[in-house]
Amino acid sequence: MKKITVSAKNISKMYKLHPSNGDRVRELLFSRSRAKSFYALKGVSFDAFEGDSIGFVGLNGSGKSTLANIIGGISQPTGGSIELCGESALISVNSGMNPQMTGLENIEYKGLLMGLTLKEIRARMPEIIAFADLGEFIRQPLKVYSSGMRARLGFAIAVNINPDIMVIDEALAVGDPSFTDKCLDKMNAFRQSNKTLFFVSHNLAQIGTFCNKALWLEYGVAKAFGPVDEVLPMYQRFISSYNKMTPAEKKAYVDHVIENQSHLLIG
Amino acid sequence: MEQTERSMTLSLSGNRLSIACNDAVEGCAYAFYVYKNGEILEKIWYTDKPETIYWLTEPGEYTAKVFEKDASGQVTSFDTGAVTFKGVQTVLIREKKRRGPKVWLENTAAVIKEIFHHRKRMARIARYDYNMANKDTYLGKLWSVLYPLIQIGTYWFVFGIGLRQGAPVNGHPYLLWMLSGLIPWFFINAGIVKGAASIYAKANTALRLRYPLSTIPAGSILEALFDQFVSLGILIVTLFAFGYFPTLYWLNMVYYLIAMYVFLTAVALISATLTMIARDFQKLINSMIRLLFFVTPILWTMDGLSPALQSVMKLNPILYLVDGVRGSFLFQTPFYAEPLRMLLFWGVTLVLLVLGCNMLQRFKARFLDML
Repeated sequence: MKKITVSAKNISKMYKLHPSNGDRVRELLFSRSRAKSFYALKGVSFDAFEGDSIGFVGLNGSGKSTLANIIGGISQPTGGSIELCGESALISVNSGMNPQMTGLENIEYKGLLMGLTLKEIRARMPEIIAFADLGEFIRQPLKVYSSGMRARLGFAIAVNINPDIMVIDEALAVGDPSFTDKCLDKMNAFRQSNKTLFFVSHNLAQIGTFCNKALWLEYGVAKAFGPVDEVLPMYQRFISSYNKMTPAEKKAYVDHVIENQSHLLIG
Repeated sequence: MEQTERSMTLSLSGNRLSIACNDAVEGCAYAFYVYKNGEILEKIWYTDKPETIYWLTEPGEYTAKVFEKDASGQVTSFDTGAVTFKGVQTVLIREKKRRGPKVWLENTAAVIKEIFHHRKRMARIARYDYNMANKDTYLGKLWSVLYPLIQIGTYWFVFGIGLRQGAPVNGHPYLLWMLSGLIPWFFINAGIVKGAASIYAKANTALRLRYPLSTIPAGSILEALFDQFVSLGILIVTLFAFGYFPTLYWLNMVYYLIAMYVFLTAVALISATLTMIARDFQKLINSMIRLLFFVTPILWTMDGLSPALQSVMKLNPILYLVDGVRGSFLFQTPFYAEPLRMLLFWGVTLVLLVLGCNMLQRFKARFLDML
């Protein structure tokens, strides 16, 4: 029996859309405001087991990154609960590196923030440098890096720090194919060592070959969660019909979906 | 052609509708139509798989049609039974706000525990930050000596030579009297300014990791403490140069450094949280710090003030710290000389600490959304 590593129960994330800064202050001081509530996630539940690789699919604004942030531990849900078994790490395109520091310094700093000692970091350094494969640029400040180089460094650090749960938020989108292959190899090895992986991507082919399960989010609601070969075909059909819609039809569709969700909001 | 009974399944589990042809024929292709309340909802084109999955979102009565196409291209269709989907009812739970003295204490204990638990990590990062601070200058570390020296020079020229014409204070040379107050002020000044900016400055790196947030303000004070050691070195060298030698009272510094550290951390917890909520707060701090400096009798004596005003001034916790350091080096005062002031200082510090811990705990979940 495989162990559950991430268990999300009915999680929701609410943002307040304040009409003005004054309203924001009013809320902070008197807990009272005219702000509308916006739910980025509405009662999402799922269980992930060790060895699972779960792809998040959905249109822009459907809550994929919000969910990735929550699993990565950098944002907390406003409702429901999430239980993580082990350390999680989030890799996103802007995954917290300092543009003034050089590549090497960023490796050291990120390691320190993650709780390693400088000695431990320097022991892992050669492996990280080899994986990032940045050549002379490793000694240059990050502000001169291309977005692909940044993603490579971020990925190299995160995989070599060896978390139990890894969340990849579109970080592979900016890498070139050879680096993407290298990452996918590493991610496969990661899965085989019985860890859990979450993968946010618009590249359905990558999700199809690489993930065993998929979660389809539609404007904050988990529409489908199951094996990839069950979820992806329906999602692909949806995408192709959605792409054929005129802008007016798209808007009507979105309004229809959101109206149908309104019965979810109780309590 | 003989029509045989065929078995089709339509079953629902949660919102997952599965449609299957149970006695599939080898070599045939299958397509499916999904209907909701009799209206067609989706067409699933031919594949060689005799089953498919469809996820439902809206309540209603669902039926399906299965199409079987054999090798010769002949199509037969079968209707399935109906299932009713009642919709998914999700109750959104909102976080409950807990209030009361018990919660205040819990939050305070949680923050102190977190800082203590991660003290080593905090110290490593503070050291790294300290080493990085002057990295992009040519003089590098020399600046941590030059910067206080230039400030000391400026104040000494304006106050010591300009205003007081080098007159001593209570029998001690003005330079020594000024230094022994100015140097603890350097720590307080750096602690307040850096502390307020601390979380915001690290927002991009630390907030995007699972990092114990309370150690950021506490760590920024630690960073300021490293500079304080350099400044204390300058003070001690100057004291030696004037023929002052260590007394037992110099050991008071251990107490005062701890007191300054705790006080500044409490202030930093509040100001760093406020800065995250509104960046205006950092600007306010930066513009008020000079006022605080001149309101506190660091470079001037209170001798000219009325006794009543003097007592009011003594309520200022910063003056307690400055007076204490000055007393330790110049006036041989033990740190417990004024128990009432000591009690007041720790009372104020405790209130600030409880307030700071609670503000951080209350708002930290929303920091990333506040960027």
